[in-house]
Amino acid sequence: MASKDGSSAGFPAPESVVARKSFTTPQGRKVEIITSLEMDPKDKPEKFGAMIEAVAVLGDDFGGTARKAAKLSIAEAEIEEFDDLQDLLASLVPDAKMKKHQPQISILEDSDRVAEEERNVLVHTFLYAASREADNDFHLILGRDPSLSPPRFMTMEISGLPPEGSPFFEALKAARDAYKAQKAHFGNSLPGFRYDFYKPPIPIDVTGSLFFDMSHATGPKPGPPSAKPGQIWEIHPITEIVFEP
Amino acid sequence: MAKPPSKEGRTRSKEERESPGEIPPGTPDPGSIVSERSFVSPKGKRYTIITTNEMDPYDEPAKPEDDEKKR
Repeated sequence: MASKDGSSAGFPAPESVVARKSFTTPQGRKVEIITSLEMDPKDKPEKFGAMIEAVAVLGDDFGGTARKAAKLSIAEAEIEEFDDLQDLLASLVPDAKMKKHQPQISILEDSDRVAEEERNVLVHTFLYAASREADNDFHLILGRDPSLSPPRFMTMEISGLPPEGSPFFEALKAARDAYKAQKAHFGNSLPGFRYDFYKPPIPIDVTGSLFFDMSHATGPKPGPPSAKPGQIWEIHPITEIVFEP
Repeated sequence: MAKPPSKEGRTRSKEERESPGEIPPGTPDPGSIVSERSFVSPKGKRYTIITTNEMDPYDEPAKPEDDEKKR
């Protein structure tokens, strides 16, 4: 029987529903997963945080707009290999210079890669922390070998997926699938909206295209306070990821 | 005379890594920790996942005082 608010007993109120997806069980029964904003009353909603977390479970499609063309493309270049993240960072054009790039780097959806971003790199590094963003990107905070000083960090992103017709769809899906398949490294759960840290940091090989995150040219830099990258250069998208190589 | 090792690439000493009270770089602030759980990787190494309330600064939820101002 439906209640006053239109929901059936045991089901969420319609206005609390943010996503629905269905699957078929091994016994052939179709089951629907309804993601809602409902929570235990003792769990105080952290307002936007709770809402964004709910939105983040919507799926794998990229949900952002800033520099979408660049973020969802792979550079046309040979792969440069780095044993130490520090050496990769030293090879980048400084942020200050990139912010004054001519022509100016737009943050509009159709902003494509500029010449400095036409680089593919493979870096042997360590996973310190990870979170999932509302646009369905996974933010990975990679750093140097923890035994080396000074510590350096860089954001590298498992991108949300482009439309299936994109020439980059298959490569980005393969990388995303490889990351999600590493559940053994996440206690059978992927990171949520807040950062999970890994102790000790996990050795990891990352391949991908360089990207300058012009949308954060002003204001605070991306990253958690405890492992903050010193630049807004990223590897975005990651095209290959190998845990404990 | 041998050149001293480059400061940029030097290895942190055992004392530096284990100083009491020092939070190693890349380790979350203890006040931000929500939970911890451990797992053994496919290669047999034990890791701890530390779930925190740290976020990207632009994703920070509104502070209660911000709500007060809006009222």
